[in-house]
Amino acid sequence: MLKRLLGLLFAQAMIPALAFGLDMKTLHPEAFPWKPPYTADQIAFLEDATYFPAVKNYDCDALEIEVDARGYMRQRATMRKRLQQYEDYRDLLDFKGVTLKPGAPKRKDIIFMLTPPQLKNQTLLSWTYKETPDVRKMVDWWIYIPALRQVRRLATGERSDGVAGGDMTYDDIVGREPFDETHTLLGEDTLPADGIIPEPVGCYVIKAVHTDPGYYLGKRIVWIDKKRFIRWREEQYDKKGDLWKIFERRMEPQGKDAILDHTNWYDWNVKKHFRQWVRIFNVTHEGNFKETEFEPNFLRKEFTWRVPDIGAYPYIKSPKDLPKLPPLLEGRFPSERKWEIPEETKRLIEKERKEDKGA
Amino acid sequence: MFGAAGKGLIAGVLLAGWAGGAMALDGADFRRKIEEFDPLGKAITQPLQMSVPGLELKANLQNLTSLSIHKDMNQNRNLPSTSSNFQGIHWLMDLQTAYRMSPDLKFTVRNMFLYDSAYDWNDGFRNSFYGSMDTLHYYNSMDQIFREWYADYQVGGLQLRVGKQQVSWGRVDGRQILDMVHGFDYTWYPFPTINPFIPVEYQRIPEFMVNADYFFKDYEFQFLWIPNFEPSFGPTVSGSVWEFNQRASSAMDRFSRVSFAKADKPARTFENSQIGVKLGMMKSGWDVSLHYLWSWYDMPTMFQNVLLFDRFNLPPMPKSSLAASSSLNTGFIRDLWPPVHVHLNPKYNRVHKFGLGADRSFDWLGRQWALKFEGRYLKGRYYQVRNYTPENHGWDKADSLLTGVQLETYFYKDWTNILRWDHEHIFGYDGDMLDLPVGSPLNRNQEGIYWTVLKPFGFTNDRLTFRSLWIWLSGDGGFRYEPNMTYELSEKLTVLLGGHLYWGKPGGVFGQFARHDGVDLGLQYVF
Repeated sequence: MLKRLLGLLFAQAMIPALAFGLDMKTLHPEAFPWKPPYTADQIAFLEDATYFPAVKNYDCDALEIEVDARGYMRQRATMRKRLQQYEDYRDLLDFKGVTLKPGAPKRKDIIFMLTPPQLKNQTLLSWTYKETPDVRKMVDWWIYIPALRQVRRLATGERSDGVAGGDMTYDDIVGREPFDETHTLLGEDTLPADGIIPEPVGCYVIKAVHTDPGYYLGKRIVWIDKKRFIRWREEQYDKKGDLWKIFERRMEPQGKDAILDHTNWYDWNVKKHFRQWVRIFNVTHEGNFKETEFEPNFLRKEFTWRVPDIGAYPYIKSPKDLPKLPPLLEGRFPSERKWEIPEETKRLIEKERKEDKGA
Repeated sequence: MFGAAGKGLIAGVLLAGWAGGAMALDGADFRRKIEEFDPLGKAITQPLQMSVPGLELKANLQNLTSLSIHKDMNQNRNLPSTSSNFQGIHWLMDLQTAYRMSPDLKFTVRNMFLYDSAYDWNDGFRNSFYGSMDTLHYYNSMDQIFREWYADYQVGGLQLRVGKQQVSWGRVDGRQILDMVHGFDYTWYPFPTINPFIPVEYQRIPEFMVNADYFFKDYEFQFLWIPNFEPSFGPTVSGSVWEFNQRASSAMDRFSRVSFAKADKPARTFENSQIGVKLGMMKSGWDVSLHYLWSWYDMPTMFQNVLLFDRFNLPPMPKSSLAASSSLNTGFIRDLWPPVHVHLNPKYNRVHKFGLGADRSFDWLGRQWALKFEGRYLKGRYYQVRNYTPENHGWDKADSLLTGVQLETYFYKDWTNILRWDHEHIFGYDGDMLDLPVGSPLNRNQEGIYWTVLKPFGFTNDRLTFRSLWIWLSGDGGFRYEPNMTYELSEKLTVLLGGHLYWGKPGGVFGQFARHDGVDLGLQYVF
């Protein structure tokens, strides 16, 4: 507690004046969570603070569904748990590391595969580290492979590589640090109720451009809830400036304490017409996980931390059961947003729409 | 029959043809039927798991057919000629049943049944490889069929597993250094392989043991008590396709009789137990472990007693009988004349295995690398020597240190590259030592270079995956190359096309299989 107080007290003096694309002088981390009107950077940090709620324990079940342009479908049932090393986002804003040292683990995640049978009992462990503009440390990954009966340390792939056959890249999963990007507030907008978005929602619209000129994305345009800072929608553009992917994220109060957390992800690769829907349920924050459970060798015995309930997973029967595609929001921020959907993809979308109407 | 270029061409054409064929499946209505194919899953495993909480089922049905590129695989080897288009048509059923009685307690049974129909469908194969052991044809013992069975109990930081099981201490791929607890079944394939249809869990021979693992903060302490020793199986089994080139023909011509005592496993007594301990820790990004295993060496030492005929007045045996009765290297006999009677008395001997493992990741050149190290000091192993004396019985004891360093990273779009170097040094080396079971002169230092490439193809959403393993051994200059591709027809069905190619001298570790080049075709249904 004393360390945290000291950290908050000295936080501002310890933060470099200009950290990558951020003008930290205008960020005022000591005043987090700030008051409106927010700067674009502040909105980006607020969104980051919301995306991973600052709770110690996290436990859930998740069903990941992937459907490619030809209708090939994969469904993966998993159990997930997380142990976070901070319960206050200010521990991450404190770049000098009084409370949580830069380079120390900030988050440890386990994903345990239940189905398909081919991947049963395969377990992925990741340690994500606290980074600052001066201290960078990539995520460490380990995988338990039943066919080897071995826990293998993995080298993290390219940040632009897809993970496990899906369309989300390492950066999409691990997340980008807010100080990795420059942010511009494009304006405000109301997202319509569509796809997995349950009701119209007022958002700030932020343009984020990576500070690395060789980065695989040209830019991201992000719709962030004005009240709760949920990143409802994210559009990723390629280096040419064409729309590449649309991600939707739904967060709702979860667990006994009704903490805002993820319940639905829906991603659409516009170019490839690849869809990925992740349904997250049974979310709790009341666990009491121990550090040892997140040690690589602890994975070895194919033993889940609670009895899995395969019957509870909301498997779908066909791609028709997927949510509607996210809307393209034509006419909004036209100078920043352009897309060229391949003819083949257009044809497939049209075909699916007709089939839906027919059904 | 084919030179190096021919082997490469055949493998390349088959890989390309297969990949093209797999792609062509897409786009047809047939494709959807294949994707939905899961009759046994829908009828058995899914409904059972849905209706019985805590029940976990998994089954693997697979066929792995290996076609031989060369008709006579034993040409240039001192083994009987073969005439077979196949190296095996393996049908495998692997059933895994687990029941979670409570959050802390789980029971697991693993049944496996293997049937090689090459014996039924291929005359050449049957005539060439019908050995004395039915087990090469099909699994017929309870030990094989009830491959693993154990109970897990977990409370707090303690993980307890009791029963017939597997324990892997290894970190690096390709060669077992710290993965030293179990014997190895050489009849599947004589080395750990990149072929996903022959995972190393099928090659290890499970053992009954008490396995207690205790975790405290970032420390791990593991204790193994193994009352039942299971040796390796296969390299000297007559009739196995992968029998090592162990019978020196020159010796056949010159000695007259070999007789064997039975290789009895150590009696199941408390004194004959094996004991293993591991201490692991995570410090400053390093995952470090120390290991010790007091065990039996996984293959028997064939102690020799050479008896002169005139002493025992034994008549010489016909050569044909000798060929049939001899099944181990007896190189020392080349130097003996007149003909002798060699009595072999196989015995398992105790060894001490000390291990050190370490790995960590680091960021360099804008990417992450994984560095892994394994070292094993083996104390008390016997090496066969050419110079027999009545005192040494043809063997010398020596210690060895085997180390391996592996570096792993990704390059451009999911190309995993794993580079590995290993080195073995023999302390107290004697120039007369022989490399068993091949029987070529043993080097004091032996090195191997391994290069593995893995590439899932993004345009197929990783349904198509390419793997390649290339190994070079400095000791005998031999090479091994294994390319393969798998294509995920559905989440339940996978097809495989691969190959295994060898180069080197007939007496070398890889060279002995220079005519065992083959093409692997596989189909797997997991439900």
